Amino acid sequence: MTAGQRRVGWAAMLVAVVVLVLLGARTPPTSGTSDDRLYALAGQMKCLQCAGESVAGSQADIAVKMREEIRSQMREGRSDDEILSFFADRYGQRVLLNPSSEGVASLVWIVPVVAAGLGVVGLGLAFAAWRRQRGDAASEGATDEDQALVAAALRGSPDV
Amino acid sequence: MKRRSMLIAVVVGVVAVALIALFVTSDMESDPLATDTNRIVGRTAPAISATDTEGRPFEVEDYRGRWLLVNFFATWCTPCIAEHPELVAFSDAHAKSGDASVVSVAYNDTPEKVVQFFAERGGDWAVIADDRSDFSIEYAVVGLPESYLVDPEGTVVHKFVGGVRKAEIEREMARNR
Amino acid sequence: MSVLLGNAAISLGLAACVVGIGALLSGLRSGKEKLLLWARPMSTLALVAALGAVGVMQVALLTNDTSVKYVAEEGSKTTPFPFDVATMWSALEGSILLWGVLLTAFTVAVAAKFKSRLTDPLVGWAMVVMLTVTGFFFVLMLAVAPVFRTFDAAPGFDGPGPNPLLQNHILVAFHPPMLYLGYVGFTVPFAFAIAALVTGRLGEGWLAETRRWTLFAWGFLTVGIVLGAWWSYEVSGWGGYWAWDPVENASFLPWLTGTAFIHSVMVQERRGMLRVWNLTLVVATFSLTILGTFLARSGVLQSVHAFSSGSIGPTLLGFFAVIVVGCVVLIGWRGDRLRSPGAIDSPLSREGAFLANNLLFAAFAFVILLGTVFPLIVEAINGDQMSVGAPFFDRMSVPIGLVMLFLMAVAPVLPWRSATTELLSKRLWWPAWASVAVLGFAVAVGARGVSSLLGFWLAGFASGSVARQLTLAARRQGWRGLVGRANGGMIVHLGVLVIAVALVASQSYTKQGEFTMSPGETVRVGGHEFTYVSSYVREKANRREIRSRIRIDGDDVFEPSMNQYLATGQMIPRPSVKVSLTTDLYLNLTRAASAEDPAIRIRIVVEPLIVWLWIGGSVMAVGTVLSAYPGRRHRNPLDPVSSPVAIGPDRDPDPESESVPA
Repeated sequence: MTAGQRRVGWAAMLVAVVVLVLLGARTPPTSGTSDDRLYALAGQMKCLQCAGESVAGSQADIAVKMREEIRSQMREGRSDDEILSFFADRYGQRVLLNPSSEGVASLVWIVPVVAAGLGVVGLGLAFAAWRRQRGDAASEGATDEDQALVAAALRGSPDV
Repeated sequence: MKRRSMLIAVVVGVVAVALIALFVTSDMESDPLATDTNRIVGRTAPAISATDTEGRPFEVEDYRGRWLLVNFFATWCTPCIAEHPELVAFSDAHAKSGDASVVSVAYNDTPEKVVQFFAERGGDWAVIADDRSDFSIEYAVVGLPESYLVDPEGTVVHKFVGGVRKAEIEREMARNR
Repeated sequence: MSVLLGNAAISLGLAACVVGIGALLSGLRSGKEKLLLWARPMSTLALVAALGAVGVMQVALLTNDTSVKYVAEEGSKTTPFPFDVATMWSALEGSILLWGVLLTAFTVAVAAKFKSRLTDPLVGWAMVVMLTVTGFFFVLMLAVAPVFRTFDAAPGFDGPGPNPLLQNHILVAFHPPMLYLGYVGFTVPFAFAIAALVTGRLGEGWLAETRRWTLFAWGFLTVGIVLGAWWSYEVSGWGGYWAWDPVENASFLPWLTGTAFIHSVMVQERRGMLRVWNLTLVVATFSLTILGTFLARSGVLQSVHAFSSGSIGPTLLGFFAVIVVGCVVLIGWRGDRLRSPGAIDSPLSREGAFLANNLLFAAFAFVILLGTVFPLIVEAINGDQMSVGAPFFDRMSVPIGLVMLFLMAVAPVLPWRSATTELLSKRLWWPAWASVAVLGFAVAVGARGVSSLLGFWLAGFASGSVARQLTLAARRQGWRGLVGRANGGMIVHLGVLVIAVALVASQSYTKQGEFTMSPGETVRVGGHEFTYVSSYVREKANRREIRSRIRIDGDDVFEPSMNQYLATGQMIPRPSVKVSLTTDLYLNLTRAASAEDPAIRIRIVVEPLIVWLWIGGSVMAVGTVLSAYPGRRHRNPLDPVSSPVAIGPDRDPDPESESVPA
């Protein structure tokens, strides 16, 4: 296979992937009154009676009651945001497991992105520095001494 | 090179020390029920429109001009049983002047058990054992028992977590008068 | 009597550590080699002492000797075997004892492995560190979280037994010891890293010494985490296996840094680079195990897994602080010897890929640490109460996970030094087509959603790379193609990929519902029919089980139950799961039937591919073992540093094909 054929092949592959992902992009709807939506919403709330469990996972009284409340609000046709802010308005922000994107809380979203960005930039700078360093060293090449060492090593190796 | 590694060491050290300081200053014995972030206190008391165990209609609004203690309880909850005499004492003390009342809202309970509970332990205030509507969520109840003090203007002025004492209620009433 | 014996054993262990440390330090100072040989007998003595303490505790638990406070508080006459054995690690004090005994065992193993080199200062210092950490745990057992205290039991007294969640499933007997083996195992590379820093022998020696130790610690930690997830799944009652709970995160953090280390250490071995970074990772991994224990046990964060907490928090925090500050100072002091001599030629190379891998793992660990402690930070800043939970961690890990999968596809085929795009195009050709096939299959069987499909596609791609590497290796070396670091590592990758696919599928395509059912009623969830047949009661020694018979798809009957533990009266549901290779049907009672009311309330979860999580974990364990053994007896001296690019027109500069025996 030539490099040209390969290139066509890769392009075809890319098209296939894009087409397939687009074909399957339609997510199963979690709207309406399905239990999937119920548990998705409950999973975004903390069970305040429990230690470290969500409303979706807990069997504590408060979690059961909150799930019932979510269900009845879903029946009334409320949106996800409306339901979540209903609870936050009464129990406080602490009931939401998904930190808000406003105020101090937004730092939890921003800091990782900034840190990752800095990491990528740092790695890029390091590669650039190494490239310069290599550029300086490249002129030296292998000496006769190096070649002799390699030859000696090869002679001693049972694999070759 | 040297300066850069020093810088990194300093940054790492500062972050680590900050982390440790954070833990040192944090409360080590946090109880999930001890931190309450409810936002009901300071608001107009959420409506409770229901029929009490004796078939009379009940509205929080009807208590305007008087103090009202909204008490969430259950017959299966031990601290609720323990606090009950305090509620009876509070209710009795204000029965004559009529300046304060109690309403008990049952949580995960059956009307029969609730009626029996009051028959055995006393208390002649309105009791709501309606399992169709849920007022506990409107009041941001987390655990039992919890009580909310509503002032004569209809504003929630205090939340009591756990069993209440008569003296505590009186103190909060005096403080918010 | 038991208390006295137990405390005597712990004191003996502590004494052995102190004497050992003293002898070693004076030996290292004066150069008297004889003193350095004390490491072995003293660590053996500490092990014997720790085993003695465990023996006393186990006898006390098995005979329910309530003169020991721990047994009175955590044990019960009615706790059946093997849960009475496992009671030792169902509360704080006993877990520290388990930790201690495993640590002494590791110390003895290190002393035995290096018995001919105990006089080497590097090994000497490593032993000092091991004995110091061991001694610290003996102090915990003796003074801070005393495991042997007397209790004056009234006649006929019987304790409550362990938390019902801890006697609901057999996995409790295996998960904590495995996890602790992982935690404790990382003490060994840490000890050698410190020894290297102190002695100034920062070459690659200490890495080579501890390679296998690190690998085993990592393997145990992996198995421990997977078993923990499995156990959660079996008892939690909602079909979940990972909830991003603080304690779960605390076990995941050292795993992440440990994984980063296992990869980046290869760059140091080949190229002599990244010395500070590798030291940092080793120190971070070890200190994160301590931090994790602190988070789990101090009560500073609320966790569903913190079955007990005590006054141990400040001590652990202090230990963590000493480690971190000490290591920063040590690394700073040795900074001059840590200068890396080499340079990385190209980002498109094996070492470039390892760097990217490290960036990802470090970022992942950072995100999880930040998310876990963030509520504390906010509270410290403005006093607000907030939560950071699963939705945050899920959203953050999707992009990180996808990039990791992509890297797992490309990195294994990259040669050292540098690669051309042409080479990549050639080597990735079949893996890429395999990934398209996998993606097509996923779409055909009904998988939907962009991120899930990207997950399946990249997992397919990475599996293709694994298959390519393993096929080439096996063709060349026969069965030896499956052992050795690179090949075994590929098998570990395969396990990771299996888990990744199972994670994506179970997170995206779960169907569930909660129903109130009367006998004879049928409900449908996710294409399956569930009929409630009847309920009955089964009495056991320590509990009363109210079991409900549920017929699935008109065929098998499964029996989720509500277990009431007699000692405490607590009601804990015990789910029942119909397991199959494609789908798990998870049944959990949320309200049991009673004499008056035969109706039940039941939660039914239909989750695809769950069983592959545990299979993937096993594959990872097998891969870890395989990668611990050398693949080839003789190395081709040309192998380590392959030449930058192809030499002749027809020659594949594949290091693998270069080493075909002539």
